[in-house]
Formats: sequence, C-alpha cells, structure tokens
Amino acid sequence: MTRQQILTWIQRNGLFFALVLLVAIFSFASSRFLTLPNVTVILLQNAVIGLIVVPGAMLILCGLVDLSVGSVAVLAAVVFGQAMESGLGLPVSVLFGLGVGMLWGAFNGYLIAINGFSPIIITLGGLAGARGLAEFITQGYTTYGYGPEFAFLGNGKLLGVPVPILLFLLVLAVGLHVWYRAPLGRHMIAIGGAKDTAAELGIPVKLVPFWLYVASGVASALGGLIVASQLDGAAVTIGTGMELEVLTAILLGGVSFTGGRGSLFGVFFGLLFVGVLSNGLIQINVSPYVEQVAIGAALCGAAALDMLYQRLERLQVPIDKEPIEPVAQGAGGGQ
Amino acid sequence: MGTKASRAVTRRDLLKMTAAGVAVAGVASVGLPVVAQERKRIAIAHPDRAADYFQGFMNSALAEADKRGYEVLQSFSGMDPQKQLAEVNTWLAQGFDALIVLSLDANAMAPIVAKVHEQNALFVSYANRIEGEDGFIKWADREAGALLGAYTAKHIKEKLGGSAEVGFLTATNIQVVTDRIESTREAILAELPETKFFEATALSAPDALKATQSLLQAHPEMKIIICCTDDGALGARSAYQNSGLGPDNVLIAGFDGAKQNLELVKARDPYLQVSMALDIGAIGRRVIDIPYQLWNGGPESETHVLQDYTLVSHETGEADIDVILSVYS
Repeated sequence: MTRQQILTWIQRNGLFFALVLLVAIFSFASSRFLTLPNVTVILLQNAVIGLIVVPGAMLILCGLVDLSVGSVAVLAAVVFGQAMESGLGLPVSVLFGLGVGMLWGAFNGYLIAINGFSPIIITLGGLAGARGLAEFITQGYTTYGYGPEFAFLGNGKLLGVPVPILLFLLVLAVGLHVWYRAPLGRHMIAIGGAKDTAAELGIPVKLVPFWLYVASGVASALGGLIVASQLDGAAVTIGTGMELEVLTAILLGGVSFTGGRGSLFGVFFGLLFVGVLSNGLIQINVSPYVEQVAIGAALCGAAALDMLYQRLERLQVPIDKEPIEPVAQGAGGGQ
Repeated sequence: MGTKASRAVTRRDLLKMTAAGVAVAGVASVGLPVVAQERKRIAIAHPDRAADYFQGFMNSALAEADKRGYEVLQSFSGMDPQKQLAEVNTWLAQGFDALIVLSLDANAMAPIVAKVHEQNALFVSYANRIEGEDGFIKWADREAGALLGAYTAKHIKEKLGGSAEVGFLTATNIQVVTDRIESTREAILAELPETKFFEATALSAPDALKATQSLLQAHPEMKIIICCTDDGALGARSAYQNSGLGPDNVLIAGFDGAKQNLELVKARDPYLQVSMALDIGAIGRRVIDIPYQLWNGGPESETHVLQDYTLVSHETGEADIDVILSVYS
C-alpha cells in the first residue's frame, strides 16, 4: 500500500476514527465494555441489521432504496410462524419465510428496476403493506414455541461464534468481494453514477438492481427469521424501525443517497458505530430521558467529524503525485 | 332464433333490473336513514394493533357492541399521533355517537373534545385522561407498580439476601409506561432504599432483547428485570436464556397480561415469573358499556372507571390464570 493509498483510505474512513474514539470513551467509562463477551454481544445485536445493510447499501450505491425491509422481515417471520402452526414442519416453514422475502423483493425489483417506478413510493408501499399483511395474517395472535432446531438459527453457536454473527460475516465477505473485486461492484457504481452511460456501455442497468432487490428481500426475511428464532416467537413488533437503522448505518457510512459513491467498509463502521453507541450508553447507565439526545448528538458529531476529517486531509494530500482512479473513488479506495 | 330469444330476455332483464333499482333506491331513501339513526356508532381509536392483547380486547368490545346493537368503527392509524388526529377528524366528518380514544398526544387531542361535543357525541378517554371528557377507562398503573414493587422487594429479601441490582426497560414518552416503572421503583425503594437501578429504553421484544443483553454485560449479577410491557419481558427472557447465566432466582416481570406471558407464568417458567395482568375482556366490554351508561344516565362509578391489575405469578393458581387467558380463546 502506498502512502497515497493509505491517506486516501484515511480520508474516506473518518468514521473509523470516530468509532475508535467512541470505543475509547466507553472503555474508559466502563471496565466491562471492551471485553470479548461484550464485543460478541455488540456484533450479535447488529448482525441482523448487518445482513440487511449489505444489499441495502448496494441498492443505494445504484441510486435506489428499499424502505420495506423491516416489514418484509416481520412478514417472513409471521408466515414462518403460521406455517409451523399449520404443521408444515421446520424446513418447509423456513422456505416459506424466505420465499416470502424473495417474492416481495422480486415484486419490488420488477416494479422499480424493470418498469421504472419510484423506489421510494413502491418500497414505502411495501413498508405499510407487508406489515399490514403480517397483522392481517396473525389477527393479533403471536405464534411461538418452535423448538430447539429453529432456536439454533438465532441462539446457536458454531466454533464458539453465534450463528447470526457467522451469517453476517459471510454476507459481509461476499458483499466486500462484490463491491471491491467483482465487475458487479463497478456496474453498481456506474448505474448509480450515470445510468444512461452505463446502459450504453452494455451494463445490465435493469437486471442488477432487480437482483439486488431480491437479495434485499431474502436478507430481510432471513433477518426476520433470526429474530423470531431468538425470541422463539413471531411477534408483529419484529422489524419495527429496522429501515431507519439500516439507512442510518448506510448513510453514516458515507454512501451517497443519490448513488454512485460509497464504501462498504464505511457502512460496516457506521453499523458498528450505532451498535457501540447503543450498547455503551446502557453500559454507562445513561438515563433513558437523555439517551435519545445522546444518540442524536453522537451521530451528528460522527458525521461532522467524518466530513471535517475528509476536508482537512484533502489539504495535505499531494494530488498531483498519484491521481486517484475513478473506480477507486466509488469503491472506497480499493480496500 | 336463439339470438332473438336472447335479446328478448336481455331486454326483459334490463327492465326488471331498472324497476328493482328504482324500488331499492326508493326504499333506501326512506328506510336506511331510520336504521342508521337507531344503530349508534362508536369509534374506537386504539392505535396499538400490534399489541398482543389487542385482538382479545377488540373481540370482547365487538361482542359487547353486537349485544347492544352498536356499530364499531376501528382505528388503522398506528402509533403516529398525526395519523390518529387525521383519523379522528375523518370520523368527525363521517359522524359518530361516541369516541373512545387512547390518545397518543393528549395536548393535541384536547381541541377534539369540543368538536365531539359540538356533534352531540361523547368523548371517552382510554388509558389516559383528557380534559373535558365525558367518561374514561384508565388502568391503576401506579397501584400496579406499587404491587409489583412490593413483590420484587420480597423476592430480593427472601431469595437474594436483601440486595440486588434491578434493571428497568422503559420508554420515557408514554405516561402509562412511566407511571408503571416509577411507582415500581418507589415501592422497591420504600422497602430497600439501597437498591441500585439501571435503565434502558425498550418497549418491544426485539428491543428488549438487545437492551437486556447490554445490561447483562455491564451487570452480570443482575437478577431482576422489570419491563414496562409484557412484550418487552419476552425479549428480556430470551436474553437471559441465551446469556449462559443460570435462571437461579431470576425475576422477569412485565405489564399487560399478554397471552404468551400468562402461559409462561402458568407453566412456571424459571425466568418469566410475573405478569401484571389487566382483564382484557372486561376492558373490551367496558369501552362499549361506558357510552351506554352515559346515554342512559348511569352512575359515575360506571362511567369513570379505574381498572385494577392482577399480579399473576408462580403463586397464582392455574385455574385463575385460565380465567384471564379465556379472552384469547
């Protein structure tokens, strides 16, 4: 890695330093904060959002958005619960749950990516519609008690690592490969940056977003099933506010809402920043009356620090020595 | 020939349909308003359709309304105060005879009272009080908190050697919830002034799961979690179950009397030991009965109702729990 590349990485990941600062503050305030069990808990608490954040960030990179993730999550959980209640068995019920997510994602993708409908309107419709459907299906009655096999999905461990964390890391690894190494990553940047030009270059400007919506639907459904497994119940409160958590991590991570620019590492740091903040405030026993204010202030502070850091560092970078490749800008510095 | 016959039938049918349409319109113009005037309309603005107790509550209310011959308008506004106001204003334009409202913003709801009275309709508050109301049904939240606090203090004295760290899962923007938690805290402090409290914000099971995971990392010795809702108590239970900590003398408690919680208490779950249960069936019946009493000059005790909670714990008999659970059947 050259000095230029290191400086570029630092410029584009100011949030990383905000995260380090936050961890340092909480570690100083609580001796139990920076311990392996608590780090595991932070990752576990954010694994579900993390799963959904990866395709969500890719959609935003393409200049699109999926606001229906929380509602699809609860719909998948509820459909799974009803299937279990009907005696369809665990494998079929899980497939039903994931299938609902896939179908909803395909529906979003068909309308938005193929037919050009507004992503905000369509997925806002999904936000209301999927949750409404979940409420209609349950009629207010939560199903619960799915047995130890299903509990493994949310509470089990493999090699000492909780299953949701492993799933998240797997999705993140695939996401990082796609974002930075595969042609698909460059296609997403091109679609988000200049769709018409991308189309002229032969990039599948409809199919890529379509499959990203499908991936987002499946990830949301998987997230819903994980939470249902952790709670051993398909409560209709699953996924409430999830879309905001996902958007917060993505936008805090520096992905441009208009598309074409962003870093998946930044999104990962954004996810961790929010997770560390929520966990740390409880660790140091901040009153719930000031908790929301603290979260708001920290998020604004992190965003401001990130922006300030980028500007300050830009002044010091000798731009004329090693020009940055256009692709690397969108890809977050080629990490 | 076939074509001709078909055409003749069609014409005849058209004539019949026209005649029937005129007849129906005539009957409707005279008869339907009379029916509508006799059948009173009660609008129920209960925003939390996701609550586990909601369907039991609504089943009971609908059955009571059916018995009395009332029509019920149901809310679809969700937990958004602006939507709730818009919905109530729509109902006002539509016309109703009584409005039962769980107000998400008590200040914003105050002007609605006057509008309701202008229409000679009744305004009945649900869960919290609104100035100018004709009647109300409210829960004895502070009394319930006192009851749970005393029970918790007894648990700490008898099973935890007289001292414990207590975790509260609460929400600061809902009066019902803060009343529940603050009165519980006061009751524990009255018995055990040295008790340490730790708080986090969580209403739902997924949020409570995360909050309890964090609390347990900071305070691994914490044995008591008091949740402002039963849904939250389920999340806290999951966190304990998967924390690797044993269930010895753990006490998780919630409020509402939700089905899953009551069944867990009935099954003597080692973690979830208490649900402060409201009689959901009685509340459903009451919201229909209060307007009835107001229209018929009933006594204040029937129109200004403070609904008590029942402390359902491992000491409560299974038959008694079944009575409360029956509303969900």
